Amino acid sequence: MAEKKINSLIKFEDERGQVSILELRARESICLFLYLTGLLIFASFMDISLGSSPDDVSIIQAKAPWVFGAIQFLLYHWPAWVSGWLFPIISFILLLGYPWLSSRITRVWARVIFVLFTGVWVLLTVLYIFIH
Amino acid sequence: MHRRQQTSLWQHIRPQRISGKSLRFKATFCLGGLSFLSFLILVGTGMLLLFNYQPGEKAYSSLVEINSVLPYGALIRSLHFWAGQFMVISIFLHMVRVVVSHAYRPPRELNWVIGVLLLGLTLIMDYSGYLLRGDQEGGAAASVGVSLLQVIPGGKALAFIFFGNPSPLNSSTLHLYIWHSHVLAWVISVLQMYHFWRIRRNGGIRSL
Repeated sequence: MAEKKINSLIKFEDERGQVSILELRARESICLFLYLTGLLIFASFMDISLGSSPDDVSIIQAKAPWVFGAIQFLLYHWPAWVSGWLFPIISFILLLGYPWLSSRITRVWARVIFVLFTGVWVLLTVLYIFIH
Repeated sequence: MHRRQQTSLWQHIRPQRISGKSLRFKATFCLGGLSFLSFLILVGTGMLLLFNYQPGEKAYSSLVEINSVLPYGALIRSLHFWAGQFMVISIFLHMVRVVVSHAYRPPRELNWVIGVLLLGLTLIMDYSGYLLRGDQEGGAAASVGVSLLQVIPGGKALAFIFFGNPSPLNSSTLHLYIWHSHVLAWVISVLQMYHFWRIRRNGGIRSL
């Protein structure tokens, strides 16, 4: 109710429900300010350290950035061609073909498949971060 | 005049009037915009880092210098790192939002494919940035990548094209540096522009 009232005060919609680009610019400016401020504060406090120097005594262990944590986690348990190739390629093809796949099934099943698919990736990434 | 506005790329991406519904916060949660903003911050901070970063053997020492000697060097590196992580997260959440709102359905399939490619390229950018630190952890991560590529036929050549010759103790190479700061950055820029162009072409944002 309150949102509708505010919208009616600040928006100037025409008969097709369209508004001026200025409305978007104003929102983008607010978003820009908030994001930059937040990032600046976050980056100031969460300083990132460097890893081990190449000149130090070797402490090498299998390691990956967190974005590839799922693959790295699988590499500990499965052969390289399965965890490093088969699993990511199937996932990538499934993701690319998702619009065509979902057009052949109901919307509910499309969502279930997506949730399961992304859930596996997120779970493996979390397992890698917290276990290894 | 009207025809010129219709054919102009900028006018196409940023028309004078837009749908009021698409302005609602929950229509997009600003996730696509935040991804793009993160990318702009990455480009800005990355260009500043280029002035002092040296790929190869001196990578680690040049980062130590950036971190500890240059004024605001540590902050710029921190901004570059965190903007990269937020970009990956916001792209992922943007993809989830697109699925929930069924915004991948016709006629938007091609834009979905572009989005998935952008996600893949962003992950590769993240990985190559991790290797460019030139530390032992990066060396270990590069070894994993090289080993994986060598599993497939022609993998040795592919590994050399992307990685160069990283050492297990120092992953930073000129090859990775060129891919990270030039080739991939430009490819992502062009794909992003095409992605935005197609959003308008396909009828604008589809709200939740």
